[in-house]
Amino acid sequence: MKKYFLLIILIASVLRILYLGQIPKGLSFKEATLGWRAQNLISSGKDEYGREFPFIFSNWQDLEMPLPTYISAPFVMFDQTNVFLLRLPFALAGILSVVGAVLLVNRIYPNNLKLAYLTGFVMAVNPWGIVLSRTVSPEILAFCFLVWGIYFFLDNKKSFIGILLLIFSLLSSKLAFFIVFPLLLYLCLFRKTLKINWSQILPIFLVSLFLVFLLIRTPGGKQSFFDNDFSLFKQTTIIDNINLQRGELGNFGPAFINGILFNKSYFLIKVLENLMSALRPSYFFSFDNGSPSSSYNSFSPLLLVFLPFFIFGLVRYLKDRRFSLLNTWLALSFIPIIFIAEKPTIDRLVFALLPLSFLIALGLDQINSKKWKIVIIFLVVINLSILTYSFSANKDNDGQKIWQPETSQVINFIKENSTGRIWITDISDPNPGPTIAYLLKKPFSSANLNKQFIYKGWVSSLDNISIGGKDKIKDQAFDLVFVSVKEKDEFSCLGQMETISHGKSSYLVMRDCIKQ
Amino acid sequence: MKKIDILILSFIFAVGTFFRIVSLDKIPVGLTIDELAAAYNSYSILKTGKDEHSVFMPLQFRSVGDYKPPVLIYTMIPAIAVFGLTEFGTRITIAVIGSLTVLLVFFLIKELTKNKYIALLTAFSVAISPWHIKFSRSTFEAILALFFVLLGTYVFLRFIEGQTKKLWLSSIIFALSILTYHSEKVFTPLFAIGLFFIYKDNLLKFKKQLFTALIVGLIFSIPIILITISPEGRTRANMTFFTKDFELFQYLHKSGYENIQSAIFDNNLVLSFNFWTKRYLEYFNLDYLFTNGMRFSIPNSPESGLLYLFELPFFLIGIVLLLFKNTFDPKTKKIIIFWFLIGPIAASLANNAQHPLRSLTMIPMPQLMSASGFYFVFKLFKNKATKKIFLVSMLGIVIFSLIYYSALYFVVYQKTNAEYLMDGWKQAAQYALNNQEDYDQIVIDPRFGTRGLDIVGIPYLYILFYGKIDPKEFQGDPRRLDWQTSVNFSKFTFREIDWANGGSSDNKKSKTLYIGSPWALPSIDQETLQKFYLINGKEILRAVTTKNNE
Repeated sequence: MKKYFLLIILIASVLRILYLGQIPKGLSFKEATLGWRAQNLISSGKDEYGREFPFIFSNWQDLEMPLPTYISAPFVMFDQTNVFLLRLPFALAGILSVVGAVLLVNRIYPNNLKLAYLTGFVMAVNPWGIVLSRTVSPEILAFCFLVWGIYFFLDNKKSFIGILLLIFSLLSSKLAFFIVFPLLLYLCLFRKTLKINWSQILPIFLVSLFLVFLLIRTPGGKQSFFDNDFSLFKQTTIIDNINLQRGELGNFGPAFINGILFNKSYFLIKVLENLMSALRPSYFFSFDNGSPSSSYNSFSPLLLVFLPFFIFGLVRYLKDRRFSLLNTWLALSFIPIIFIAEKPTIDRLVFALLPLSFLIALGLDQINSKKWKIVIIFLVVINLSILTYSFSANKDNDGQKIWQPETSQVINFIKENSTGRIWITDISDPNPGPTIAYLLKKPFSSANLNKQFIYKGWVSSLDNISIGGKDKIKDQAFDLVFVSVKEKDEFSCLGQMETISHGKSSYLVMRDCIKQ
Repeated sequence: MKKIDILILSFIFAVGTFFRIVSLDKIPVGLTIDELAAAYNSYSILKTGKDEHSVFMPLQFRSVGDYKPPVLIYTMIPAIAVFGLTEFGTRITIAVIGSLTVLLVFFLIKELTKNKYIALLTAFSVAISPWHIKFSRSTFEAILALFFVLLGTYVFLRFIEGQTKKLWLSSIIFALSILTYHSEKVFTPLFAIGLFFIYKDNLLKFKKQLFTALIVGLIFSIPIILITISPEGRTRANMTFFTKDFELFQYLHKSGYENIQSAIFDNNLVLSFNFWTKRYLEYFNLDYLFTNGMRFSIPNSPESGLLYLFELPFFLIGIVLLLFKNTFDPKTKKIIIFWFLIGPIAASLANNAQHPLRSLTMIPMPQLMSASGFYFVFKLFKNKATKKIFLVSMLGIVIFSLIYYSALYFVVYQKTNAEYLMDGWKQAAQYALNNQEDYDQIVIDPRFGTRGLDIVGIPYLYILFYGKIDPKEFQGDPRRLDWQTSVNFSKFTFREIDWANGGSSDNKKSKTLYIGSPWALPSIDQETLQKFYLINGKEILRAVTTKNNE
């Protein structure tokens, strides 16, 4: 049976590491920020804000836990602008999470090795895990540590290793706060076979508490929680609409009746609605999910061919109470998305990857005929090929915007042609600064940062490169200007015009220009 | 049936009827184009035997942009004859059919599950269903088609039970359902095939009846086949098929494939199939079913699902029971699951996401699941006191939910969607009709919308309907000779008003009344004869005339 295990690892590795630097084409904003930060830490011991080895980072949109950056730094050290190396630790985390899943399922259900292998196989080939592993994703790192942490925690002799890994999970992503401690609590309360005493989970509890405290005390910390993890409660439109509906009710009933019918308890329904919207079958098996990376034409987080097996698995799952650990795990996985105003994304739902793969594996486990096994493998290959093509092809759609492939092309152009002052538009990419800084290896000291809020901001210039802020550069001269088609008449240029394009997005390059 | 059961069923029927008939003439606030077209064509058939386009007893009615199935229009004739061309007369047929559906659901579910309590609960769930009530209150063919599906299934099950020999009757009713609404063209044949396979053993014992039913079914299907393959029938299918959906269309390859990989892995068939699966699976989304499917108000507002939120836990329990417990016999289980799964197939093949009207064919299966869940939970309580507490609490929740739904549908929805419900056109049409003697010509602009051009209406139908224009007169009107391109008749002209531009613009014409949106007409109050408002107080139309008029 070991050969199957090796085969699963091989499949997981190939799908996660092959062409890692080239696919996805370009560099996401999140990746560039982490890469630039790692460069700065290696060279000066300071992050992009000039803080010395900070514990909590800011990625322009949210506060970020430390581990992803500090794990990436040694890889980036070898070649500071190598995208393959930047993504590699996360790809390895993706592979290790598959290995961990096999071991964990085998630990929970030691009599069914086939089930463990099937779970590993499903995890290895599911686009969800593949996509997250091929990018800089703190969530996949947190997930990997969680899987291994629980695996060791379930072994009475090695539970301390488990605790350490679970702390690493907390240090990888804020999302882990929603699942690590509650899952351990469940294990202590309901897993009678585990010889766990409360003192073992105390460190986790204290670390969780400390980290939450630290995050809240960090400047902008509370705001970051409300902006990113509890954004539902910031939606003023909900309150406005409730009031509007009360007003429209007019004389329907006495005012207090109108108040009873439409009031803030609607937030509870929104929370439930969020949960239900993440439980959509179309969300997991079709391209109905909100992740920007998944707006590819044919992307579905779980392979469509697995849908019937998911249903078979679900039926078996509900019949058998032995699966209670994964029940709890699955339920907790949805907490990160229920308090947000935006559509749930696959990165926020990453912890559900294991229990959902397990459900599919339960369904697949019931297939014993060799003929059917061949048919399933054939369908998986076809389904995966379609998705792989969709993911890797240079398709002209919104899903590819987050990878900013044209920004990378702009950098190449600057490397080959640069002299003097440069201006780059921020129309197609609101904060291209980190990507430019990472690929040109600019130190943090050369950057001019604008802070809109405490943790939000953007890069407005890097040495000789000015970015955006058109109203501030009137009458200024530039040797090289990168503009969108709409903006070309705003500059009067002497030099010739060239086009850098990728799909719908394109930059026009003009030389010797003055902003009018 | 025991007296108490009859009493409970009567109560359920009364509740269902109340929600479908109360204030039927006022809510929804305006008659939609489809309602007007159906009503006027019924009136026209009643008076002349011909539709508005002078076609004698058509099998499909030319409508606005497509062709309508015939059954509803013929079914409405008695009500139009009794109540005339009024809002109530137009809507009462479907409201009654909708109310009778509640009774039919009881008998069908009782026949199917052999459990009168589950049947009563399912009937109650349909009686108060936001989904079924909304469409029963407007003239929607889908309600009638669903009635036929339920009736056909009931007769079929009675045949299987040996209580009737008229399997052919079931065939005819199913064929009628197909002739009534487009969704049933897909649903009914699939469902009939499913019924055949589920009850194959029983059916093959009665080969004679089966053969007769098949022949009768085939004979009745001839008009359907003819309609479907006719250019008019194909128009509808072409217009509404999901491949025409913009969301998919933007991804499809229009000018060949870039390379061989693209032709294999990214071809239009793969893209369309993937898109269709998304559309199909969306019909099973719990938030659509229980919290926001009806879309009565603007996004991020308190909303209503197709079923009530309190039904959600019972629905989930019902599904678990259906899958794991022997609550129903295997054949019943198969029918329920099969019906639930094929219910939204027709809707998913059309070009709009999550269309509650097109997916009415799922009824009453979701309701049956919540009813079974409720029944199971109720049986868990062993002593009378806890049973009573449970029932009283549930009654409180149901009453609250009904009040909430009423506030949402009868008040909020009417106000927030007033312009889409064609509010304002009745008043405008009546004004034009009452003042027509004073003008040589009346021009009505079909474009409207409170925020600018949003909708293009069909105002001639409002004039026909509220003027009770004699169909003979309308069909023979000399201005209607070019009816393929225009619906102008008598003094009425329906076209865009050209007010602002110079030259031959409308503001130069004398003795002409203009009715149009405020943004298409002068904003000077002196020139405005009358303003027409929506129920929410916003101005939607106004009547003006030129100064030369005096």
